[in-house]
Amino acid sequence: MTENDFDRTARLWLDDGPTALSDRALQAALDEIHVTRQRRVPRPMRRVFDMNPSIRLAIGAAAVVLVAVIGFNFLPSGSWVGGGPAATPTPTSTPTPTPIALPRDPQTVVVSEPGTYVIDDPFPIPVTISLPAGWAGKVGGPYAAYLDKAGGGAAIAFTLSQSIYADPCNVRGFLDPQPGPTVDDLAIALAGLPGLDATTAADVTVDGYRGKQLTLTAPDTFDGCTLTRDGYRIWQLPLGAIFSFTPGQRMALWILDVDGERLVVSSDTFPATTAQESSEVQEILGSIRIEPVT
Amino acid sequence: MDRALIEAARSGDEEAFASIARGSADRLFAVAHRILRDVGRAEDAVQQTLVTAWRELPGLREVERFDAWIHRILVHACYTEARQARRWAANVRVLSIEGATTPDTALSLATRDALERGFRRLPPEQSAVFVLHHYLGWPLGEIAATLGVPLGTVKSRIHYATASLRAALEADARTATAASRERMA
Repeated sequence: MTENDFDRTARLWLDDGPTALSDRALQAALDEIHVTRQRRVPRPMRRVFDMNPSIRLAIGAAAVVLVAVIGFNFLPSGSWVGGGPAATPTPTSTPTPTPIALPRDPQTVVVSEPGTYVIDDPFPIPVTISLPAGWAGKVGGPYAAYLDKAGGGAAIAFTLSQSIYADPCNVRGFLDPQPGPTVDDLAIALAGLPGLDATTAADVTVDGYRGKQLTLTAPDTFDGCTLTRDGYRIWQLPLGAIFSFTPGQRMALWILDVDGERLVVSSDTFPATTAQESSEVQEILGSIRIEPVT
Repeated sequence: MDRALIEAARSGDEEAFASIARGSADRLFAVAHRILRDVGRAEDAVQQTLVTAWRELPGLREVERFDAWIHRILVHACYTEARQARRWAANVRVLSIEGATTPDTALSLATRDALERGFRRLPPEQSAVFVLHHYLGWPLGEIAATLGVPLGTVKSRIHYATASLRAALEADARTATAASRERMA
């Protein structure tokens, strides 16, 4: 069969089939839409350059203090227990005056010089972060934004609307029922996942938003698991992104209630993650500033 | 798609979105059915697509990209449906119905059956690219932009999908030839 023959055969086969959605199915969708609220569009970021020079200077100085305070806020019970070896929190460098918007997937910004970036539309909760050199970032869509260290030694993600798998080690579909809508509901569900080592969820406040912090660690081997090509799965986002573990991976999680939206900040480190990379993760986490959702 | 309708829907006009949904539903369903090969699951994927599109529409910056945007949501909804279906469908034998309607009688029942079986074995990522390319006629670059994946990934998926389906057709042809020889012996 030639290439042309195959293409023609494929087209004929694909053309053969139903082409109309039933009125019943359409009406069911419209009924659900009727009771579904549209997502709020985040307000534009406040830009420092809109202010007069003296205020800008004052804010620049205050930012250094603020970063240190936020860094402290990310420390549950006063100690950093995120992925990777323990490290002393260090204030980040002074943010650049104008945050640079992270691009929308599939584009990725690769940070060659340290700078301040903003996670923004279509991700509905604006977040500013300071990234050290060697990191890359993008907004994956309305449910996720990703920051990755070149070489894959560490990563940070901001996610919403997770559907939790029932068992990372075995293909058993999703938890049924899914966790309820609160921070505690999600923390309890994640801590209860089989096969993962979970710390006790601790109260935490990040940039004024309350939540829970816990850390999940995958076993060193997945022998005995029945895994698909998506691996040791933990959750899936509404547009299909699947979050999964590799053996020995640690995921530190901050589950926050941001004006009614449940935001999960997660940092991933691995057995091969260096102390320098762990320090950079901590530096980024310490720089996080969450804008109010309007 | 009417730009004014999309802008009105983006601002929360439910009636405007209903008009968009009515205008898009059949095409979305046809694509979903080609990817999923199941009416019920295709309906579910389209319903999920429309609800997600309504919910997320305020975040769509470029109205002119609406068609690509909603197809991207559809494809991801199909991935979800396919993964949920796969464990149930693993042992389901596809039975073709003799005399089913077909626009071209030159496509034999055996060929359609072979394609159907081969297609159901494809990962949903390959199925989707194959359908967007061969059913909607989209160039590979447009598919890459719509799905937000590199062009090389799209090329790889279409390559493997095509190879799998060609192998299914060739295996079917070999079986038919062997059966014919047996009858003649």
